[in-house]
Amino acid sequence: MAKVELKKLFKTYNKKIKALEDINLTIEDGQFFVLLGPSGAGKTTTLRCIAGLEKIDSGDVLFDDENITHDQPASRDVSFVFQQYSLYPHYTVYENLAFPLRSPMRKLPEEEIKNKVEKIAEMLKITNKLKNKATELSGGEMQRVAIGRALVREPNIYLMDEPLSSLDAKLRETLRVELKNIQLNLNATILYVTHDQAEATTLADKIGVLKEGKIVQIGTPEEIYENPNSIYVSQRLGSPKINILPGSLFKLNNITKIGLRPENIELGNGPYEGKVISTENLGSETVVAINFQDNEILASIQGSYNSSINEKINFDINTNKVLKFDKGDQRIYER
Amino acid sequence: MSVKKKFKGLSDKAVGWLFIGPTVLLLLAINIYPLVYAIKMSFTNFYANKIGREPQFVGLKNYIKVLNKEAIWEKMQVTASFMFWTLLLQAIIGLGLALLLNRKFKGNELLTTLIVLPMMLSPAVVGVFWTYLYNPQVGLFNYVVNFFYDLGSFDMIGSSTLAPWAIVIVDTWMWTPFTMLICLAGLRSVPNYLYEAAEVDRASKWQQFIYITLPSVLPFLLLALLFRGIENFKMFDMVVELTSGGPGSATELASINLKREAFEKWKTGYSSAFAVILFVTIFGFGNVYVKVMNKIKER
Repeated sequence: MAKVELKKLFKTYNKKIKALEDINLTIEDGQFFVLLGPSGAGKTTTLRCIAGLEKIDSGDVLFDDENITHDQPASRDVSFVFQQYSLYPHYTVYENLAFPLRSPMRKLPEEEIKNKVEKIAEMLKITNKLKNKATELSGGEMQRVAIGRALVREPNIYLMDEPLSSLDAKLRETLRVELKNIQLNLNATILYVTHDQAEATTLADKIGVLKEGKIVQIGTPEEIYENPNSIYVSQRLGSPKINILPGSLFKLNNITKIGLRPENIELGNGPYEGKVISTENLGSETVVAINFQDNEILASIQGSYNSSINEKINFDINTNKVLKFDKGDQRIYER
Repeated sequence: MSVKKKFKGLSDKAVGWLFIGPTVLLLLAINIYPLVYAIKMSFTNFYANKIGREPQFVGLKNYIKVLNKEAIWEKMQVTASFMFWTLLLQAIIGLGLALLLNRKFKGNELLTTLIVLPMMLSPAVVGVFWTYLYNPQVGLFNYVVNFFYDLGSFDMIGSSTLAPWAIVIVDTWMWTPFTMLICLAGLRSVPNYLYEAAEVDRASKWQQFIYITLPSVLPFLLLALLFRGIENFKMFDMVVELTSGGPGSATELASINLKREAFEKWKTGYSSAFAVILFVTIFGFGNVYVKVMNKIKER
């Protein structure tokens, strides 16, 4: 595995559409790095630039301090899990998994290929499917094979482009856990793209938030959650989503907007009074929507919470946890 | 109720029949009736030029005669070798051209159109103008061959060893674009991400061809060869214009022999039997081929 660095990366499509602007990031050896952002933010493009599937306009890509910007994809030795499964449709699962090992750049003996394929199949629980054709699998199985095809060798970096996005919720959760275990076992360097915040927070050692082709913040999941540097970043993580409210609402008159996480609101008593719009019981927590001076505020309460619609409700906020933003939606840090 | 019944128009089924009716009638008149008539004739000693003589039922005599005739097997051999070489060349060259044209380069569309042109010509016209190209004194073909390799004067059509190759060359020239077009359709259907995945998996170009391109394009190529095979089994017009089956009977395909028996010797009953045998042969081969092709597709 290698350390991967991107330096001042610029990329435009058709000389017009800006895809990436001044991307700088370092993925340490053995790190699970997640790129987070909505569609069109440049996540996939970043991966493709690292893999060498896209030519970059300017900037450098470094693997272990070695500049590989102008190398072909094959000589970069990376593995890629595509968003579409992209299995070789005419071959069996075994052949699909063995394919990267049959590369003329490796020349492994058949025995070793067999061992590696069987090991990875066991890890991903697809041993009983090895003889099936790729097209006979279900979506979840196909994606396991696609992940397996990436994991079967030890490249410089694993690039994963929303590998779990097309799976159902339950399978996604299982695979997410498996993936994290595999990464820890192999001590693998992974760059993982997602727009799913649960995936980002559970998997990542570090998160990079992308906005319109630029990296706006890099940090651990905790830093991104607790200490976002803009409204945009604060909205990336957290469910139910963060409340963005005018500062005047809580007598913070010199502050344009504040961000308030739903769990930092206490219901029952306090100086503020609103009306209940709705309650949503999610089992371990209850989300209460409150109308407060014509602003909707989401509060999340541990356990269940009984209240009826239009009922008057008093609440308080945890002032220490209030995030303050200026006119440009940037964070105002306390001195 | 009664009002509804009164205004009841045509049923869906009736409308359906109304639409396909004319076509069915036409097919019955020009395809099915002649076929049935030919099968009937094949069991008689009918001579179309002997007017007034009532044809008599002779049973399987015509069929036995055809199958026992040594010359027929020679014609079949000529046909088989013509088919083998044309299909082989058209498969290889067609796939090769398709692979080249599948790349992006300037003038790609124009080149495709130019390559496809021979296919648009009438086979008889092609036959006529290739007789000029093959002319030993002034023909362009002979000139070009001699330019690269001095063979002196040679006659593609006049020599009994070269004439079979002459018709293979013309058919390949004319119909390779067909296999190429169908292969090209197959190539265009291969999603690009498969190649990207292979590239990242460090596969060589050759591995990409064997693992991705060939299996995707094979069903298309086999289909093109089925069409070409059926066509070439019945090949007539182009070869007649080019060699008329000669010299001697070096290029006398089964279909040309059939035409001679039917319309030069007027052995109508006998040639009907021959035609039915040819029909059953190609029908049988075609069916087996389609079965094999589907097996390959499922793979």
